[in-house]
Amino acid sequence: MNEDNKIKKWLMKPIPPAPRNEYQAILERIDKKDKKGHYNLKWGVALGAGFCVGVLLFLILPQIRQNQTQVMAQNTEEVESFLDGAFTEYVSSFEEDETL
Amino acid sequence: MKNLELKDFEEIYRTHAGRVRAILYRLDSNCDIDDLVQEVFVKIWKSYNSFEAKSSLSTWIYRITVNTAIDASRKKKFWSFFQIFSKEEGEARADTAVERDLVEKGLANLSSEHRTALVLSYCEGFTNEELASILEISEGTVKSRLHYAKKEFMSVLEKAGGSYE
Repeated sequence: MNEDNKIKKWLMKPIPPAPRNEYQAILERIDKKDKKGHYNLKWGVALGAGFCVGVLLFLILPQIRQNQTQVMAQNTEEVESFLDGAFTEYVSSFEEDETL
Repeated sequence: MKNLELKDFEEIYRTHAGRVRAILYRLDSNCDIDDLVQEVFVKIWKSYNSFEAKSSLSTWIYRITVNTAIDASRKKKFWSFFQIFSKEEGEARADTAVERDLVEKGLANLSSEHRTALVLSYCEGFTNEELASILEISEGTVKSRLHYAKKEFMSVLEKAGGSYE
């Protein structure tokens, strides 16, 4: 037997037969992969959106807090100065009455 | 963008399933053959749109088949790294079974490129030109791989013993 025939003899193993419903199994696998792909896509979009919102909140919230604090401080200052002014006026009105 | 009709897909399956199965099994007889055949056809379905008809449909299908076999082989090698203990106890087997094991191991020791060239050439009867197209290499490379694979496989057969005559 020449070399090529020897090689062929050893390589040519009998092939196990295909299952009867192989084609059906392939179609079901395609269908499953399609569904899995859509499912993964929805999850991917949801996670991505959640991540973006999280990052935005992380960046924006401190700014909002800072602005709120500044506005509150400003408001407090204004209120205090108004009250000071009003009190001073009130007190000075008594002093004027006394001189009168 | 081409879409594959179900009836055309069935035609492709009926025409090529046998050969796809044979190629996969001869490249690795320890593979989960049913699973791999399904995987090949799922890939054909999914990537039909990218088939540009630069080669024949058959060549494209066998290319997918070979690549699927190579990927499966790589995954197996990756996981076998974690199998520290492998039990090979068993009854004594006939000499021919032992020799076949040696030959299988020898074949498995060839690189996937050489093994693929050998199997596709000797078992499936592809010409060098067809092999070059399927494997996307030059004919010179095909010849070189075949030459090396044949030499290595012959030395495996010689070590395995004489019952292959």
